[in-house]
Amino acid sequence: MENFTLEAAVIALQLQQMLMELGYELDLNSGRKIGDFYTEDGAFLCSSCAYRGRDSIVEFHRDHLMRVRGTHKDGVRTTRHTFTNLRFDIQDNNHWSVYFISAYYAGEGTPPVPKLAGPTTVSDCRMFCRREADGKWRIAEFGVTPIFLGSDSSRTAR
Amino acid sequence: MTNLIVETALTAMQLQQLLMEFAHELDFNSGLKVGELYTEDGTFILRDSVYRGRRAIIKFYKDYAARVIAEEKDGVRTQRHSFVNIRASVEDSNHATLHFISLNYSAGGKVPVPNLTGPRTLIDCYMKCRRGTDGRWRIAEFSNKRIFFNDVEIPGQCGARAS
Repeated sequence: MENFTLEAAVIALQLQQMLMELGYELDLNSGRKIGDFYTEDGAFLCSSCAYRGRDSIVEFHRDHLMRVRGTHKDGVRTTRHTFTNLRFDIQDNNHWSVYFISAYYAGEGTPPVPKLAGPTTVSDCRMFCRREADGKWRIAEFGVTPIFLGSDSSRTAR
Repeated sequence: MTNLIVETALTAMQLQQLLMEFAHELDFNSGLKVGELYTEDGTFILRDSVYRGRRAIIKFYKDYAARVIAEEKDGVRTQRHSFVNIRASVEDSNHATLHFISLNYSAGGKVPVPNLTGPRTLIDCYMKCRRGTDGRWRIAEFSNKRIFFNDVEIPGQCGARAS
């Protein structure tokens, strides 16, 4: 386990903040600006999918949004990604990895959504991050492995 | 998105600590000293109700505690506010806003409470904070919105809590 220096602690907070902004983007903006979070060559990987390159990731989220509009009550899927247990692995000043747990809550229709019975999925996640020339941290690779599946998980697309 | 530097990172940590103290006060002291965490003119917005000023907020929690004693099993409501996904937006050295998600576990009766089926509610929250002349951060405005809720009725409960 790393013993953080002041500089490293600030980076850890920056990455934590980025992750929480990512959750907000997915839940409150349906991932319309998800491309801003990824490097040009970024990858999104799940157990049965692989989207490589920013354009491919943006397209995945756009397609998901279109499916929701066509199949869900009111054309809306209410979601909240909650992220806990963040662990940081430092490669160098410009390359860090963040490992964490995602508990994902989802249901059809607009909030408040009734019948909450726990998370839809609990997943192990990894996020390889790179600080680019403009000083901003972006995601070079995001990987997700579902560990527990709850109600409505068959309709979970991300 | 706030790009945290050393100074704003320190503020973010101070505010995170304030938030955790707030949860501890609600869960372990029924919010009876929650007034200390608000500014004198602080505002608490709960659905359609607005409590303005520290006195009004203190009264809300005192009234709630009295209802718990009168109506809940064993006169106790056990709850835990689990705050996650905290995003800090630092406006200047004395003003900042936290956005976060509250997972609220609660039920009537003493610990350990059986039959857990997950959180009772998932709530979007924001908390506007202000640093006073004594250097301490306090809550200037706290508001929340229910996103998911478990609507299974539990006999004897006072109803979903503030946050």
